[in-house]
Amino acid sequence: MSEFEDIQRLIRLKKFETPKEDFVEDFLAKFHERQRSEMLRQSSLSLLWERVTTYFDDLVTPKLVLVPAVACVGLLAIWGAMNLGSSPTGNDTATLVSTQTLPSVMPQQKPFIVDSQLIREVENDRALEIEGILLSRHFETDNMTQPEIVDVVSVSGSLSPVSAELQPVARFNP
Amino acid sequence: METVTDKPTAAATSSAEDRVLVERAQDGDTRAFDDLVRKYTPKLYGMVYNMTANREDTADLLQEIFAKAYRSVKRFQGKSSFYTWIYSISVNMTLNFLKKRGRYAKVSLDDVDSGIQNDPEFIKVTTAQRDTVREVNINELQKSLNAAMMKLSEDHRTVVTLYDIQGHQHNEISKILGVSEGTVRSRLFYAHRILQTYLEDLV
Repeated sequence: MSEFEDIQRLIRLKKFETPKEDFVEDFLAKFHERQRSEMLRQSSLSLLWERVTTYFDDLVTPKLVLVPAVACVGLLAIWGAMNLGSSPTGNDTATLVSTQTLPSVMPQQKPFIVDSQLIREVENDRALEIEGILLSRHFETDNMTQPEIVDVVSVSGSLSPVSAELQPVARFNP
Repeated sequence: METVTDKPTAAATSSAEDRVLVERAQDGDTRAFDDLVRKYTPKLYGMVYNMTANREDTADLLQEIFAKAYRSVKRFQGKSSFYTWIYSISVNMTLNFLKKRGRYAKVSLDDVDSGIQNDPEFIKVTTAQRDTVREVNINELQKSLNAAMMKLSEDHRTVVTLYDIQGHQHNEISKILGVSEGTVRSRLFYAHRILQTYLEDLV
């Protein structure tokens, strides 16, 4: 270090650049003023915040808090990445539902079926009604050559067994 | 002036005194904290002033430093000495301040200490070093020293301030800056080389 001795001697002259004698007491007075004005300026909310942070600072050191926090964030990131990776690339919900992702996660559910006598009868009625309409159309076409047409006279929707009767009717006059 | 053999004893006594003052301050004794402010203001002033080269900035920054120390003194656990702790706060805050100031303003290098010219010890030293400090106006010398210091990077200026001007040891500086002693020595070496380039006319 001897090669720099002259430089060091020169630089050491700067240690004489000290504040004036009364600087320290003036500085301390200003420091007290500043402390008081800070107390007045601080809102009750910021005081509460300061107390809470000071309490937690005393309770656990920042390094100890940082480690589990980073670990939690890391785990969440990995979990999120895995979920994104296994899901399809499509954007809409319909695509998601139609793929195998949801059934593999959720238990297989049976379709929602209501087995009711009343519903069966209504469905039966509708089938008979359609059958009657088709038959009436069939006979309508036949009626062009024959004098009598056949129409559906009654289609019952009651709880009793349903039947359709085909009876000859008078010629249709609009 | 204390000798080399007196230094560890004096440091130990000073550290013990600090510990008592800190404990009292932690118990809410504001006068104990005032005593710490009185004790460390001149030392920290030298450090901050030689880093910023501006008196107003130094005074403002010292207020911020002691305000921060006051808010944090309850959390000071005594793992290091108070002296290392307060110096670490000061160095970090000064470096942050210099980064901000570097972005927004330029400091005037003409900001020299006019009072130093009348300092008897300074006159004695400069007279004794007439062979080193050649016939040069003291004001000019100060300007040149300040300008050379401002040519250094902030990291280099910090180690020069702490080692050459304030007289800290390498191990103390490494604790304050949180770097290895090797890094401190390396920074000092490069800083001295740069200073030699700028101050070669004066040596």
